[in-house]
Amino acid sequence: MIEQKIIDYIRENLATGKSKEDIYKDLLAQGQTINSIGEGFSLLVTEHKKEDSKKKITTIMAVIGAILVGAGIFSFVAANWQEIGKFYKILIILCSMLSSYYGGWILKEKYHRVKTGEALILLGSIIYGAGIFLIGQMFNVRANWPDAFILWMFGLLALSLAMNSFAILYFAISVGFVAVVGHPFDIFSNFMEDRFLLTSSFMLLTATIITFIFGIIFYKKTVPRDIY
Amino acid sequence: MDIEILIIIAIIIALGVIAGFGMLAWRIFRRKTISDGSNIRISFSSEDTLSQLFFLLFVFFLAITAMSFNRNLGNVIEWFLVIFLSSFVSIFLSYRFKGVLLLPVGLIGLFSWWFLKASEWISLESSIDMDIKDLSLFSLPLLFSLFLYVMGLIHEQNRKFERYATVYNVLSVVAITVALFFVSTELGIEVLEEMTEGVDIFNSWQLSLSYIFGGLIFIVGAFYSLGKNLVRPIEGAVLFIYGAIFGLSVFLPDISEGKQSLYLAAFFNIFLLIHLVALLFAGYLKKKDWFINLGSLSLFVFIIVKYFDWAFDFLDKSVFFISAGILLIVLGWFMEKGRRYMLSSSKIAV
Repeated sequence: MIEQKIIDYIRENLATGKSKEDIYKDLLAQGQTINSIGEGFSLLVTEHKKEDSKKKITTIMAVIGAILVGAGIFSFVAANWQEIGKFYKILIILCSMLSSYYGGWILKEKYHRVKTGEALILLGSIIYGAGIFLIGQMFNVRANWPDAFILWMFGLLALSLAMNSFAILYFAISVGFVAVVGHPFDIFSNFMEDRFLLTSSFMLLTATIITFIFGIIFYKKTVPRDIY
Repeated sequence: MDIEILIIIAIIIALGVIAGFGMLAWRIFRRKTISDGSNIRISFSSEDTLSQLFFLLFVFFLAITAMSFNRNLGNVIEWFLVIFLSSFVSIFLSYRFKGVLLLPVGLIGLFSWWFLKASEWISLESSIDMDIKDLSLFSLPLLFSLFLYVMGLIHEQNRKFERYATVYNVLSVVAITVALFFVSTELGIEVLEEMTEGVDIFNSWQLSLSYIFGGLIFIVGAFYSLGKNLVRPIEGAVLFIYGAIFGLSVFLPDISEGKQSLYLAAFFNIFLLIHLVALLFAGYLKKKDWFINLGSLSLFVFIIVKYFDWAFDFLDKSVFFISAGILLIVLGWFMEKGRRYMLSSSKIAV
């Protein structure tokens, strides 16, 4: 049976950043056997894995929760959408988006509930995207539908910079790919008949420039670059 | 087409792309050590992945922006040209910013450009003349694929370019395997026979140039690799045999009447089988896991496809499905065992 003091010693020293080899040396000097030290390390690894899986479950639950709440709100609003006035519609979109962001930020930064906070921020960013489509529909904005995805991507990129969140960045990239796949349909449909909207072209140009800048930013952050 | 359907199609395609990248990212995060050169390593960190994905988005946006402005200006240039130029940008960025994800996009873009242009080149202007054999649309890309393989061998020389070497190798091997799979089926042989109808490729200077250029760069690259000992003599010989088959297949006489179907079927099936076994051995000799994995997967698919192809019509359906099940289980067990054995032996050798 492994002694508790070995486990405690390993845990404390690992927390201080001491290397595995040094801990081995110290414990051997204290008269412990290699087997008991090894066992101590493996017990800690198992403990760590359990903690990790608990964290994963919490994250998955938080994300699913955020998506379910979002879906519920969307379905409720969609069912009563026609009866709501334009002003209230915009108010609903803005309030739900801002409250999600604020709640997420508070949870993440003040209460250090990182996963739940990020899930709420993700919900806010989904509401932001839905808001773009709904406002476009309310005011009959003349635009190609993939433009909405580009606008959504811009918002997500700005948010990711503010929140320093990788999840939002990956989400922005995914949204960008929808625009990339969608636009050629518009460009090639009725190819010879009517012209493509100039606003869309400039929006695409902006997206081109912004994605290049983000590519450069992350290329510069990539460490180490010499190992390629 | 309805806007809703367009949106759904776009979302599905985008989800497919995202799932693909997700799988790649999962592979990246799963491996903590730097590759020994036998595996495909896409990225070294999250920042690297993001940088590559943003550059990839940039290339796509660039192409679409060029196309949209082109349309605004009344289609002043061909959209093929936009694909061609964007592909070059993608390849340039791939080398400049070490984004290995951009390389296959650029190479596939270049192939697509050539294919689209070649589809125009095979149609002769005069309506009296017959068109050029469609076969060139099939054989020349395979010749180019062989050149890509040689490019991979050349890149392997430098540790800095090992990741690029893998991209060149994977693309070429996958392209050749898929093409051989296609022509070994009944449908593939029918299509191939129809492709032999028409005049030869020297009736179009663009196709002749492509043929000479493709052949020359492949021969020069292969001799260079042999000279520098980048390939074993046996691998070099196999490359030249493939080159000869793909290069000479352009001159196949008109067999569109279908009298030679049986010989063609025999030839392509044997060729494919040898190709797959060669893949496995190449992986073992070169200590490349992905070669072994691709070879064993393709061999598995080959046996199953051929079983369905050949036994479906003359076996009783219940016997057919029972034997298919047994074949699947036994084959799967043996192939997995063989694959694991080859992988472990290649690792011990390393």
